[in-house]
Order: sequence, then C-alpha cells, then structure tokens
Amino acid sequence: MKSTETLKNPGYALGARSEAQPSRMTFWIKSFKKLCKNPLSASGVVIVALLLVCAIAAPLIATHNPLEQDLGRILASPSLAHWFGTDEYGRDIFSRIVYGSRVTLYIIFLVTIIVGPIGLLIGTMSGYFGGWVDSVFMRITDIFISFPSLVLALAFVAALGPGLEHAVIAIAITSWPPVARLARAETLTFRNSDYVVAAQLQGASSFRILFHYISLMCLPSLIVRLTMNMATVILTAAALGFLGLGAQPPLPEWGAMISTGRSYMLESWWLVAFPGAAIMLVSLAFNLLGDGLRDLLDPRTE
Amino acid sequence: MIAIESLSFDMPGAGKSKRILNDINIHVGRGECFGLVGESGSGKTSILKCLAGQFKGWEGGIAVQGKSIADTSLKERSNTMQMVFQDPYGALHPRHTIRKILNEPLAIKGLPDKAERIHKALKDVGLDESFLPRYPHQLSGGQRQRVAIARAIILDPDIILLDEPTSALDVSVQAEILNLLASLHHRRQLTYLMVSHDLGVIAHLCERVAVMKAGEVVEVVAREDLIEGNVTHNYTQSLLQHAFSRE
Amino acid sequence: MDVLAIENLNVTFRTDEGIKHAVRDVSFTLNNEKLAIVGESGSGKSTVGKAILRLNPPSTLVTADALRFGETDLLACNEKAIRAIRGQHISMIMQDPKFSLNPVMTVGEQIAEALSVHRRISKREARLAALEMLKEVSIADPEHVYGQYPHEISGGMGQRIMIAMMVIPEPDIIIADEPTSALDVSVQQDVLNILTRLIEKKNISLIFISHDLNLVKKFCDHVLVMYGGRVVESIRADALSNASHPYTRGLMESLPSLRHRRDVLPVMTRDQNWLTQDYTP
Repeated sequence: MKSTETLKNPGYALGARSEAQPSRMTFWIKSFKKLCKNPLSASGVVIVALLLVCAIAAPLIATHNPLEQDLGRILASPSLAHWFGTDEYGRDIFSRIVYGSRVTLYIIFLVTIIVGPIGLLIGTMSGYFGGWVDSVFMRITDIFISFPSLVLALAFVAALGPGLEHAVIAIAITSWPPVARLARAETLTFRNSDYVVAAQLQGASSFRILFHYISLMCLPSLIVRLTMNMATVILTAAALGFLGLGAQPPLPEWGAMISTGRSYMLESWWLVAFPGAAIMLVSLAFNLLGDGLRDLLDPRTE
Repeated sequence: MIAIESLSFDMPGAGKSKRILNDINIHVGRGECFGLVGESGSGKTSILKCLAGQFKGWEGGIAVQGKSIADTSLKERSNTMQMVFQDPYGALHPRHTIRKILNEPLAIKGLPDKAERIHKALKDVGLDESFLPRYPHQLSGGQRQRVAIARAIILDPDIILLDEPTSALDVSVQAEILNLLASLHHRRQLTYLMVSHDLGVIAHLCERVAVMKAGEVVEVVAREDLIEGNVTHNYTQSLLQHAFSRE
Repeated sequence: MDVLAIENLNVTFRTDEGIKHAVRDVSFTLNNEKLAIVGESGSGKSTVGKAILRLNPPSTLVTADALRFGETDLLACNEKAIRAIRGQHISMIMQDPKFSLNPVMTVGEQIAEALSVHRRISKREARLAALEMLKEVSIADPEHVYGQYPHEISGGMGQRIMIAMMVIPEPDIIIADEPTSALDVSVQQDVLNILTRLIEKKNISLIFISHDLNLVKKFCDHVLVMYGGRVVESIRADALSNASHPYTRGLMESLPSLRHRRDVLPVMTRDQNWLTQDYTP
C-alpha cells in the first residue's frame, strides 16, 4: 500500500482533487464500524466472534475434558463445579458445548466452501451463457430444490452411511441450488453491462469474463446469502445429529447431545436446554450477521 | 475502413420482431471522423451494437478493414476496434482499480511492457499514475471517461466507436473530453464512428454526418454543408433548425 | 408581496464521510416570473428546489433566515401543513416522467386525482377537467390518451401529462427540475411552449432548474448561476451574453457551436475564490 502519493495536478485534468487515498485497511475498519452501528448486527458479530474464540481456545475455556466420563457424578445439576451440569455419563456439558463449537464450525466451514464455488460457478455460467446451458443447469437445480432438503440429506446419509463427513456432503448437496439461482439472477443483471461489453471487445474469453468480471459483482450478495445459509446449515446438521446420522458419539455435537439427552429430559432439563440454546443462539447470530452484511454490501437496500 | 452495406436488423421480440435498422449504407474512410446523429429510437446506437457484436443475426454486410466481421471473432477485431460508452459510471467495473482496468486488455493479449503502456495511455488522456490504485467511484465523471478512453486506446486500435461519449457529462467537462478526442484523433490517426443526439457535438468533431430517422439513414452531409445549412432532407433541416435556435 | 422569498438558505447533508454543505447562503425572491437556476451536477441546484418543498431526505438540515411562501413561513410548517402546500400551491415537475407517473393507473385518472385531492368535486367533474387539461397540453385525442397507461406513451407525451397533472390544481409556483433533459430536442421545444403558455395563462410563477444555459437564455426571465452550492451570478436572461462572472462565461463558451466552430473548445480553469467570494448583484 503506497501511502505517500503525490498527485501532480495537470491543468487539463480538471477536478483532479488531491484527496487522501483511502487505503484498503481503512475501508475494512470503516465497514466493520458501520456493521457494528446497528445493535442487532453488532450482537450477531459478537456471538459469531464468541463462537470462533470458543472453537480456537476450546482447551483453555473448557473446564473439563469433554470425553472424560465420571460415573460417580452422572446427571448432576448445574453447579460451580459443572456450570451446565453433567450428562448421563457424568461428562461436563459446558465443556462439551465449548468443544461442540468446533464441530459446528467445521461443518459450516466445509459446507460453505463446497456450496459457494459450486453455486457461483453453475449460477454464473447459466446466467452468462443462457440458451441450452441455462436450461440444463436450471432444470437440475429445480430437481434439487423440489425435494425437502432434510429428506434429501437423510437419503444421502442413508446411502453413504452415518458420519460427520457424510453429513457435510449431504448438507452441501441440498444447499447449493438457492445459491446457484441467486448467482444466476445477479449475472443476468450484469452480463450486458458496458464493462462486460468492453471486455468482450478486448477479446476476453468467456471464462475470463466470468471469473474476473461477473463473479466479483455476484460476490457481495452471495456472501450475504451464504451467511444466512449458515443458520440453516447449523439447524440441518443438528437435525441430522439428532437423528443419529451426523456426528457419531462420543463426539460432542450439539444436535446429538440433544438427542441423547432427550431420554432424561423430564428429570434433567439441562441436558437438552443448553445445547438447544447454543444452536438457537448461533443460528440467530448468523441470521443477524447476514442481515447486517446485506445492509452493508447490497447497494439496492440503500 | 468501415463499410456497411445494406445492413438491416430485426430486434426479436415477444411474438413479432421489430425492424430497427433498415438498409443502412455507410462508408467510413481511414482516419475519418464519421458521425451518426438522430433522435432516440432512430437506430444510431444499434449500428454500433452490430459492429461491436452485441447484436447478432443482422442481414447485409459489415466489413472492417476489408474483412467481413461475420467471418472474424471479437477477439480478432480487438486490435482494430474499441469502444467508448455513454455512461462513464457503467463502463468501468466498479470493483476493479484503474490499474486492473488498464491492465486487463494487455493481460488478455499477453503483451509485454505493461507498466510502460499503461503509463503512456494515461499520459495520452491527461491523467497521471496516482490514479492507478483508485477505484472508479473515487473519480469524477470526466476522469472516468478519460480512463475509459485510455482503455480503448491502450491496444492501439485503428477504429474507435464512440457512443454518446459526452452526453452524460457537464458542459465544461464535455469540452475537455471533446478536445481530448480531437487531439487523439489527430495524434494517433484514429478513425472515429461517433453517435450523438447533439448536432453541435457531432459537427464539432466529425467531418461527415449520417442523419438517421426511424432506422434509416436519411442523408449523409459534410460538416461544411451542415454548418451552412446546405441540407436537402426535411428532417435534417428541422434538426438543424432546432440546433441553431438553441444557440 | 413576493410569491416566494428566500434569504440565506443553507442545506447540509450528513454522510458517512462527514457533513456536506450542499447549499450555501442562497437568497432570491420569486415574483410572478420564470426564474432559472443553472449549474452543473453537484452545484446544489436541485437541492434548492427540493428544500423549498422540504423534499430532502431526513438526514438533511435546512436552515434559512427566511423561507417564505407568500405569508407562510415554510420552515415553521409541520409535516401536515407542508403537505397541504405541496401540489396545491407549489408543485414540482421531475426530469423523467417514467419514474414520476404511477404505472398501474391510467394517465387520465392520475390527472383527475391530482385535482380531486385538493378540491371537493365529483368524479365526473374531475374527469371532464382532466380531459380539458389534456387538450390544453396539446394532446390531439384526449379521450383515447385518458385511458392509456404510462408505459404506453412516449417520453414527450409523458412530460406533457406531468405538466397537466401539476398545472391542474392551479398552483402558485411550479418547480421544474430538468423537465426536458430526457427528451429529444424537437420534443423539448413543444413541451417548453406548452409549459410557457399554461403558466402565463394561469398566472403561475416558475422555478426552472437546468444545466442548459442556452435553453434558459431563451425561455426564462431571470437566471441564477450556481457553483459549488453558491449563487455566483444573478442576471437577467437577456443579459446572459454579457455575463460578468468567469464561470458563467466559461459555461457559455465551452459549448460546441454550429455557427462558430472552433478547433479547440475553451476549457474553464476553476478558481477556488468562486467558492468564497460573494457575487455582487
């Protein structure tokens, strides 16, 4: 980043006012400040940040080993020693929730890096090329959309066998179509713009235009969509975990924790309440963050 | 340089197609500055879009430097023909820096000495290198149009298509851009095909003007005849009258 | 009594980059005439027009020593009072009729409604008045046009309908913000002629906001030239050719001319002093 720029002002370059060049860094700081101005999106930022901190520093935050069983203290109610109580094997629920954030983030991260590029590629290609490419891609998308996503995910996991990685693949397969549709709709608005025509006149290949021109313009709304999508991903992952098809025990996954806690729910409410609250809080946070990002990134809402 | 012969184009629409260009014949010589003038819907921009490959399925013949453009791809034509657009906001990619915008044509062509070429193009349009790290939204309308012109000339084309290059600008900026276009025309021996609704602008820059109405060329007039009012067609006369009455 | 009196109008916007002073100390009086406000983009000319009707976005601060419409102090008006003035006493014609007309209502109904919101009359009377008005704006077949929707009519026709809508409640002032810049030159003249005829007939004062000095020179009585939020020159329209301010002269000279073609157009060099010096009327 060049910070010392002297702007020679040639007499004919009218209006070449020597305003300070805002650097990329200040742009990010400014955007972040803007995001935090709205209390709702600010709370989203805080909770997501907390989730990140929990996942990274899990060994430091957790008070116990999440896998260590203590059969002498099963189903203990919340106390100073066990903040959120213990489960049916005497494992500390607080520590399990803290470690569970790693599982949750792992799922979100994997699903997003699978879904984002696939959706972007299919969407921009069908929007830009149109014609039969569009028809083929969009019919495939329609087929995926017409199934209820949980049922489709269930079918995939049933076919592949239960497990965290398989759950990720199943969720990714069910959640790319809306992203592709969005990317296609965005592409349609940009594909005839003057800068794309200019690039075509320069002899740019279709793939260059897709990657260097159109994708860049689709990114903001795609990021918003993916952030909102994370909430759904968390819920689907929890549902799969609850049904026993996601993360396998003893891995501390929030949905699975609720599932096993269900049998003791009436006597020991904390087995279900804390993981449930964690799921709710985090998916709410991603929704709020998504809303905030939309206000920030999407020019149409201004 | 540009030979358009009996060009017709039907815009495909829902159900019926609409004829927007009808039997256009235009010949632009090397180094000439040729104008297309007419009111909205007269088809003047459509001719540029046919040349630029945005409209496909036209009938007739368009030849650039003796080669029919039906036989050459846009990529092959990119060294000969570039375009400057009306809207300086929409013509530059909002998320590319000026450096990236000017580097793109060079990167596509794989040309060496990129920095040197960018420097020269910027100098030719009256900007300096301090603009390179900026984004289009940090520039004024006139500066943006200068960048768009720099992008058009950076590949050293022979022909530049100008689509109302100044109508979105303030008059004082319009004067600067017109001066710039005139001096580039002179220095680089460019051929211009310029579209405008403003007779004053057209007559300032162009030596010959085709007057268009409802998809047809009604008359091709030399600048001197236009200024002296030596025009034959009624429509040209009424356009001239309006233009003179405003001065 | 002046129809409109403005003294030291200041408008500031709050933006992300800080406070932007869009209009500085603008004063003028309007008195049954055609007043033009001319300037380039960003000069604050439209902001002045909007400030009179208090149509600026909420983050705007409008202050003035006086902003009087007849006896009424526009600055002291509450939202309800200003709404009573909008349309009925002061109305505004925007640049592009496409965005100003309601797309799901026939144009005739829109004209009739413009009248009936301000006056208690029957539907039939409103319709007759609207048809009469369509005739006044030189529309050949009023009955037919009355039933058309905005997307079915051309730009020039749309602008005539806007004029009809704005004139029918017989306001005291019409503010026209670039009413002809989206139109072809041949249509421009017709629209301006219609506008002139109607406002002269009905005794309406006009504030004409434009970037086009040549147009204003022929069409208006008095001209305010704005630059950087200030009025740099206030001059009679017929005296524009002898304007004293270098900015006004620069604007006049930088237009390419058919009659006197110059190889190089004169380019203005802007002077920082223009932003601070007061003009002398």
